[in-house]
Amino acid sequence: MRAGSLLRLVALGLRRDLRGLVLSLAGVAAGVWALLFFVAAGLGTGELLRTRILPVDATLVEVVPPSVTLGLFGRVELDDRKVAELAALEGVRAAYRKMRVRVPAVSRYDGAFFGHRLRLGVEIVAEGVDAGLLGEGIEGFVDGEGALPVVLSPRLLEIYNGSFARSRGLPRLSEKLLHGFEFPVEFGRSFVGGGGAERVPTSGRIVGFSPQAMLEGITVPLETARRLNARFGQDAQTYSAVVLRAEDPSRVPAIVERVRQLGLEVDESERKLVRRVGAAIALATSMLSLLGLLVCALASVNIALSLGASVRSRAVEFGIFRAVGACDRDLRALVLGEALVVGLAGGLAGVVLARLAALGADAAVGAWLPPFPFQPETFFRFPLWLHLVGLGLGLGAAVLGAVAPIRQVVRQDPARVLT
Amino acid sequence: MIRVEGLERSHRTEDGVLRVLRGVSFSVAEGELVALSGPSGAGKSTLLYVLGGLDRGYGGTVEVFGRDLRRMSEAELAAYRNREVGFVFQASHLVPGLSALENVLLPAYFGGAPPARKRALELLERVGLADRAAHPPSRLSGGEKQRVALARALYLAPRLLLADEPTGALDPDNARRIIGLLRDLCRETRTTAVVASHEPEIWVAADRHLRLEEGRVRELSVGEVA
Repeated sequence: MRAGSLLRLVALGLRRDLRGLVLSLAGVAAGVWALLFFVAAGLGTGELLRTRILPVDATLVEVVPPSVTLGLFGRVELDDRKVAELAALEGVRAAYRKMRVRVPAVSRYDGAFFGHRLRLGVEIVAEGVDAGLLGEGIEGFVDGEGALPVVLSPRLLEIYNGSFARSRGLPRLSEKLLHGFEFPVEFGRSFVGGGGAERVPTSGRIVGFSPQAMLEGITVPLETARRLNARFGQDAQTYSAVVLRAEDPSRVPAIVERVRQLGLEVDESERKLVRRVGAAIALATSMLSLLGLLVCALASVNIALSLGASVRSRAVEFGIFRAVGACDRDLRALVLGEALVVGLAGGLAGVVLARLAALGADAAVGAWLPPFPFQPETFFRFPLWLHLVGLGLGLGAAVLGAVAPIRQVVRQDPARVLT
Repeated sequence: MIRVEGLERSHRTEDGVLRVLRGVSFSVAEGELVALSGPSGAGKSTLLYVLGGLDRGYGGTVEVFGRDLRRMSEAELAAYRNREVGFVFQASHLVPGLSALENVLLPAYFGGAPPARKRALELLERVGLADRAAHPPSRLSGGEKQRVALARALYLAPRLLLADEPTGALDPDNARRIIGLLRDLCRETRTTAVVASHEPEIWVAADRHLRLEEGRVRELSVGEVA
């Protein structure tokens, strides 16, 4: 049977039962819509989590001293010897040291703040790191005289813009705007206790932003932390953590194994959190996607019933086709063709509906919810493969729905229906 | 060219098995127009469907154009119906939704060659319906529908035309017209035809007259009324 003839007769068949056609098409569209909408939401929120809320560099391994020591040889410390040992591990490209400033600190700000008046006192947590960890493009991140060079996490700025600035009536700020901003810092003082007699008032100067900077405080040069710890009589020799950069992500498991053999631990709290939240998103997405699959299954049954009824009502027509030379394959192609048109059109409609629903949901969030940290432009991600899955699902539902009607049409006895 | 030997066909009914054809034997030569008569339920339609390859549940031997229909595969039988057989039914059985022209072209939809509109239009003209080519069946009268059905049956120039009560649903004028067309077209194209009919005009127009009764066939002289 020629393609043109097949299309002509398929179109003819579809026109014969427009109500059934519309119902079948709507069923497929609803199933595909539901599946795509929820999967796209899961992909979008998962990406938001991984790239903006809790970005994790797959090549980095954060090594920390063991929290519990049971051996006879005392606590394993992260000193320079250990750092050298870690840096020499196979698959490690670089090792970056981290040292907490082990004295309390506060910032008391009272003055102009980007066109507003700000009076604020906060506890400050500070950590010193090797400059290499923060990446390129940050200049002036060296210990010296004058204001302390400070690097902040972009996530901290996002939280400020998304909630703090809004609640306090302060302006939203950008990284560029904050570059060079100075604020007072006083080491040796605390609002909650723990401060000593000696106090070192100084100031911090923002020199850049890095995803590797600490989220809940300020990141300063390693030598600054070492100097401050020494000045206050604190441990200035051992490190609070060492970040290893693997040559590639596939080397990470072996590196983690070797680190543990050295009696050290790997801080996986953030990675675990990402995994846990990611799993929760995946679970919710799966449950909601199942709903879409269920609707598609029902759509398939609907196609089977509708197409079955249509085939029964057109028994004479199929008998005529037999009489003028149609073989089983031709009749199968006709019924399958009708089902595929329904599946393809329903799939396409489902894809379009899902995209429109996603646009609507994003617009509703923008219109009805106040801005919040890490708010993305869209909560949905529609990769090409997802569109193809939607179309495939529509076609799959149609093919399954066509199985019984095809058997029915092939079994019809033309001699009986034509008499 | 048609050889039927000991043809048996039974149907299951609520009352049991009904033997419709009971050892029917006859032959038809190429180019012959054979009239087939008999009371209702005698098995005329069944015989035509067997000859046309639409009914395979029979016993005995049916050879058409030297080929045993029983030995043909499903695809071969479909090709046989498409290229070598033309059917005309009592109810014209046109496909609703297709125009008269498309109905004539229908056999081409299931064949290998592209639809030949010129040939279809010629046939419509031959049956006097050239001006109705674009009309759907719903806008044609009973006689016009049957003429379209005849054009469809002859579209691929079949070697065998099988007509089952082609005038059964028509008024006398239209019936006469169809019979005339059928006879003339078959004569012109030397198409072999087996026409089941109650119409004495067909019996007279035919080369031979076969009568089916109680599942058996007997030959009557042309023009003889059983």
